[in-house]
Amino acid sequence: MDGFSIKRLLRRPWLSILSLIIGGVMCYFLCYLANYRADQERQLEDLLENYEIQCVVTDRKGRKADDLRISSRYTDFITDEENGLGMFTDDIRFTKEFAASIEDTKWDLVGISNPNCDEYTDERFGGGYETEVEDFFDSEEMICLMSAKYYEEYKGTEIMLDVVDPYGLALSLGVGEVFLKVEGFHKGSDDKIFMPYKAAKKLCSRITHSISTDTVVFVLKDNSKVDEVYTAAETMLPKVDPDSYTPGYSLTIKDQVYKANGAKLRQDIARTGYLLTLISILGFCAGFLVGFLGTKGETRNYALMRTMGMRGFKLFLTVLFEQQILAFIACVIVGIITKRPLTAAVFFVCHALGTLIAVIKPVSARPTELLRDQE
Amino acid sequence: MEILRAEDLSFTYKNKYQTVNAVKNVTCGFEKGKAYAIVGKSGSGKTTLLSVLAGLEVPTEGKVLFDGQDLSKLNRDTYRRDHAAVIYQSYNLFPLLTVMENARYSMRLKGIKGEAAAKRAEQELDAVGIKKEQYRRFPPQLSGGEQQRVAIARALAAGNEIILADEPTGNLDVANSELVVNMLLELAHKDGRCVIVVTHDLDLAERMDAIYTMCDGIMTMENTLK
Ligand SMILES: Nc1ncnc2c1ncn2[C@@H]1O[C@H](COP(=O)(O)OP(=O)(O)OP(=O)(O)O)[C@@H](O)[C@H]1O
Ligand SMILES: [Mg+2]
Repeated sequence: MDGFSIKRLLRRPWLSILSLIIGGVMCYFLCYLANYRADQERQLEDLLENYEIQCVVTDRKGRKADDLRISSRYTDFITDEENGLGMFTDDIRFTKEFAASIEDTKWDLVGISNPNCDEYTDERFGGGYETEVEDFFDSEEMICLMSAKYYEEYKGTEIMLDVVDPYGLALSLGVGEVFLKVEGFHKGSDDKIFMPYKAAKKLCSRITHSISTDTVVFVLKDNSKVDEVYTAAETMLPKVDPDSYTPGYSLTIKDQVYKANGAKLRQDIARTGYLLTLISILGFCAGFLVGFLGTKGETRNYALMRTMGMRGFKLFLTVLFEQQILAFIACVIVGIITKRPLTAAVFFVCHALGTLIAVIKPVSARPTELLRDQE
Repeated sequence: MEILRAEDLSFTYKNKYQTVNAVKNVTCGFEKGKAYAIVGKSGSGKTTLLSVLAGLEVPTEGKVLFDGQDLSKLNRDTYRRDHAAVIYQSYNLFPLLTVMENARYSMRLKGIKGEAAAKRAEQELDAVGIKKEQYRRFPPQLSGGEQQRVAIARALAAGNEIILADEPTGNLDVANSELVVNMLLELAHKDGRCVIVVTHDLDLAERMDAIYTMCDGIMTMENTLK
């Protein structure tokens, strides 16, 4: 704007350096915090959208989540879109475990409704599977996955298993001979055989009509609907009651970690927000200070400019420019370094506002006061 | 030809505690090519009159005519920038700008920059006897007389035809006073500008073309010497 203004600034290096440093440091801090908050907000968003709140069906006392021997009345309720929990659930994991043997070798035969049911098939836990069959886990066919080692051996063949449904410790119900076609392999231990849950359910029906499932886990579709799910589940699957002696099952929604993390993130975000406001206010104060110190003792010069015919408003702009150009440069640099141009701009505005208020008085001093001062 | 004229001019300082009628119904005229002295004892309203003539204060009553036009109808900032330069007893220069930069300042306000401005400033500094090696000095490194001469050079460079000086020699020794006074006279007589000097120094006043005497805000005597 004015070469002379810049010369005057450069010839008062200490004040200029002070202004540059104060502006730069505070602006950097603000941008840093803004980045931090954006990061927290991203984490919160990620938590809200991607955190899997697991819901587990247990006995009424909440002691046991496996070997539930739950009937299809419950599993149907969970999958029912209209009258059950279907509209709230995602990734429903039913499992049914059998004991099986081929001649003298013992096997665990597990029916699973999707690969997330077991860590051996779940990629997120280092497991996995491979099969040519489309919708393997949704199939009702008598097919199975064996470990990689046995897959080599039995690939494409049908294995014959003697299957038993273990019922408690003492009792077990024989399902009988089961033929399963080996259609792929899983990345887990050798004694595991996985089959589709629906096929396993068919095996159960050889013994009883309805008892079909050992574990029931599902994930909430919408993390914000915890209370709705509890309400919808109330009649069939009430909340856990440790003192209960009634038979039946309960639903536990494991949202503690989710809630705690969410609360912590929200608190962090709020705190950072306060800090951001505080620093903006401090930026305003720093601007005021810079303006105050920068114009201190300069009134005579301003009056001189006015007597030479500089308009009041132009003087105001000139002084503002003199006092702000260094902070502006600092903010531009910080904005680029921190990739936060908008935050840096906000800081600059606060800073400039402080300066603006500080310079109003010295700038509007009447030029004739200069004459007065002489006498 | 009258370039500046005060007509029935009054100025009153008003604040919470008091009202001071510093200038009362002053009527007087100033011509181009002449140097005027305004004398009077302390507090008689000389500085106030000068401020009003410079457009730094707005008259309470009456008017100032510049080239026949009422000053209140003109922009006073532009009037000072283009036509009327004010020189004070001291502190006429920006301490953080060099002599050269100071001399160029009022041209800069008028939008004259670069080579043209440099040449013009050099010419005027030369005319007031500032040497080339002093151009890069800062005002505190100059004597009081030199400072006043730089201020005069600045007014000359900007082409202001009215020079209003408030005790320009107040801080100077005899030799320097002499230099400055000669310069002001030269401005009037050779350059054809209108020079108005407020002073206590009656010897100085007597060298001017006309003397106005003020007493308690009233112009009591109009004495044309030459
Ligand atoms: N801001 C002000 N408020 C009130 N009264 C003022 C103000 N400035 C000046 N005066 C008064 O106005 C009168 C004229 O003052 P002015 O400065 O014009 O006198 P002067 O002739 O220049 O005096 P000096 O020779 O001492 O410079 C004085 O009585 C002074 O006290
Ligand atoms: Mg005075």
